[in-house]
Amino acid sequence: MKEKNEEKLGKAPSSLIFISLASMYLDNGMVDEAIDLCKAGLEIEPHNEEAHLILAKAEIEKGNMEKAKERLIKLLEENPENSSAKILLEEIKQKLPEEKFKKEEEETREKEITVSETHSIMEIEKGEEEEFRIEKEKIKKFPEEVKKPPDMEIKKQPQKIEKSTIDKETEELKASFLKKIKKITQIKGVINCFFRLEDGSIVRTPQLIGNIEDLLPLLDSLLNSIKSAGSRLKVGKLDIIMLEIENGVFYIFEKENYDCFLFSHKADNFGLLKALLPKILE
Amino acid sequence: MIINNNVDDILDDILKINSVLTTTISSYEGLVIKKIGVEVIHRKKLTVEIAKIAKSIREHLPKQLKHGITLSVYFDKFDLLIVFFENFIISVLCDRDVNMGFLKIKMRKIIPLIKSSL
Repeated sequence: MKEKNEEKLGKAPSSLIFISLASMYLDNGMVDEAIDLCKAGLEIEPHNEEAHLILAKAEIEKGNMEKAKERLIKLLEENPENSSAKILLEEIKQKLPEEKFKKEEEETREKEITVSETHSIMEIEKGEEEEFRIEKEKIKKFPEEVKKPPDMEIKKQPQKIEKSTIDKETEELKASFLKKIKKITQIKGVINCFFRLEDGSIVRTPQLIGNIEDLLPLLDSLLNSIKSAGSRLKVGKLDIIMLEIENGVFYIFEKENYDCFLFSHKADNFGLLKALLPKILE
Repeated sequence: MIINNNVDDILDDILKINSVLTTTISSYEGLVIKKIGVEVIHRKKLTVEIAKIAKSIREHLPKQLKHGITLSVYFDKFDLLIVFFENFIISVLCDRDVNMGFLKIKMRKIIPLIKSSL
């Protein structure tokens, strides 16, 4: 019995990592993998709310609305303040025909109430309109100089141009990285990819990335400790880091102006990545 | 930690692989438990740095993993393979032309033997 438990513990990922991975699996359409991972994690941490949420989402994807609903209701019984669960439950209710009917009923009831209240609301709106008209007339009475100070106008214009050119440049830069992500994710086995630029901003495709905010502390501290080890041991510049855990492989490609983070299902595509990545990242 | 004499033979097997320079078993505190091979980098320094890397991994990843956590780091001059276990760390320092795939397969085979010898 003890051995069995130990085996389970050994297989069980820590909450941080299994939630992130399950979320990634779900985001990439690997629903069964997400369900398996969440269930394994919940055996060890049965009250992990994030895991229940991901599992509910996966159940929705599978079309098991009732199961998902039950899970969310249980979750809300334990923590009635879980807003994500509330939102998800509301979504399910909208999807379920029976619940939809109930909602329609509620809406009609609400309408009946609102008709009686409409008159008073209209009165308030009328009062606000009147206030607005008076304020407008007051502004009209101000001299032109007060309304538009000429100095401010001159200063504002170049700022606007500068800001728009910077925005354009960053947009172009981000677009080029998005192209790279598209190419990288086409490589066999790659589940996920994102870039971290020099200023710390993350470039990612919304349809591919799950909870990278949870993974970044791990990848970041790993990158920093390896970099400092490299400089202390004088083993040259860091090129690639490859971290293999039971549920997948993380690759970090260290470049001068950015870091490229990759997540793969298995490590068997390393040779391919090593050959293709330098060309893509050029 | 008590070490069985078989560990020497097991580590010797790794050292026979082309381009493998040194193999070390160390603790999470940075202590060298068993060392074998050419000392290209000061071994004590290396195990201390590995312990630092292990600390950052332990903060974020589970302590108990059946197959351990494998970290391969590719530097300009050397390649470094580190396998983290519950109580100890195995690190292998290699030249850049090492066949990392073959080394990992070999490591997977010998790890249960090392576990039973410690």
